[in-house]
Amino acid sequence: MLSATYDSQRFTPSFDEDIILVERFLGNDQEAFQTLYERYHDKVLAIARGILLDAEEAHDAVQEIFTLVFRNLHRFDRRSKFSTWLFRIAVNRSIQQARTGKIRKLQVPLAEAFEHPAPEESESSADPFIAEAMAKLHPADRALLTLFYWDELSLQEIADSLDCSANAAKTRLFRARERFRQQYEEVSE
Amino acid sequence: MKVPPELDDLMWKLAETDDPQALEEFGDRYPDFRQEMAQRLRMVRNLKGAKPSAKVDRFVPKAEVVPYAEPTPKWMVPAAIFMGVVSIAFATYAVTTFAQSQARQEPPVAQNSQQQPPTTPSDDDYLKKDRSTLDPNDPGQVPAQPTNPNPGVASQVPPAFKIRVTVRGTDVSLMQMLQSVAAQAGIQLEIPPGFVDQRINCDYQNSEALAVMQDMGRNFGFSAFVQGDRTVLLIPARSPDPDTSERPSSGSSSPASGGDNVLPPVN
Repeated sequence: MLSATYDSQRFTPSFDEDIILVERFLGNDQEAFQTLYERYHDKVLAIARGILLDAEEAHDAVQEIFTLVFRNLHRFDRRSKFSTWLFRIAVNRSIQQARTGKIRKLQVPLAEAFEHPAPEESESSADPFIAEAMAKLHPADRALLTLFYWDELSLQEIADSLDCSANAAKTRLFRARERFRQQYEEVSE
Repeated sequence: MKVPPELDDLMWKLAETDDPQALEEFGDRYPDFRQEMAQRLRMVRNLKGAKPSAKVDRFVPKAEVVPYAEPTPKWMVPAAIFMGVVSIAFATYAVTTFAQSQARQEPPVAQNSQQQPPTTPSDDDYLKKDRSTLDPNDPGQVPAQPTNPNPGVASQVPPAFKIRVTVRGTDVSLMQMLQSVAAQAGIQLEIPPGFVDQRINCDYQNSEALAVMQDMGRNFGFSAFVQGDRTVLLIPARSPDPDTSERPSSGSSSPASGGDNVLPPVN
């Protein structure tokens, strides 16, 4: 009885439609993962680009993030939405990469960097002050702004992605936004 | 211009919703902040517009991926700081306690490491021996003082004190007998104030000078401490364990009837 209650609580099926794709992939349908990849590529790229700032590093990070998901999808416990789980991995992985970014940059030869240019991106805005102001922020602040302004997640979704409460996410977002405003005004003056 | 907090929040919301009608109403209501609102609107628009997008290719898993490191649990950082502080405090306490216990050590009265032959255990040897048994965590533990069963007899006696002397007398002055021993051995007596002279009977024949003085000390109430190659300090006190001291090979002494005299120091 108890185990049945526990199981029902733990494995309550989510109505997240991504779950169907996840189940199909775990049932050996490789196309299901391609669908997930296409659905979330831009959002994950936005997170990686927002945190890492560098286009090439961001594309590299996206490939790594999806490879991690591809290999570890059986560990997804379905207690949260698939997108939340994916964004949490994306944020943590990108911040982890941002911390070691300088070392990696030094290790990559210049010629190799030119051989593998970043894929073309379409950026509607050419405001150079945005990138400059973002570069002056902490990667965690950049992650918050990215999730809110680029991926347009709700505060609860941001909280789930960052593994904190909604109130904490709100406070942190407001602080990050204010710091961004200060940096933006500073660089644009 | 300083923006009030409630207005600041409103301006962020308007900039994020980008509703023309709401923006128009805000401009009419707060004309002083119209410029600030326009600037913030432009900033948010540009930030949103900076979102990258790229052509999505077919997914191909990477051959090598750096293992994913889970973020450190939140409790780990304060726990690590706490453990570090505790470790530093414990180390400081242990070092301080050890230094204090070392400072409390006093050298034995009759030990003079500078004047001892190399084979004589020095004060440092005593200290090292005692330190090895110390518990540095016990602040109340005071290391035991190095003990010498017979402080007047060093393990290695300077040669002058081994010179054999002969003193004999009946109802003679103790001081005179000691000076006689010192004169024969060529050593110098150091006698502190308060040393009591007395009339004694003694008969030491061909005995080592130091042994004669120590035997007299046991009988007449003083201790003889070797202070150097040719100096002996006589203190009016008995040796802690007379039985362990070497007795002269031949000779005897005993108090004689007569009055006591207090002697001045003799150099």
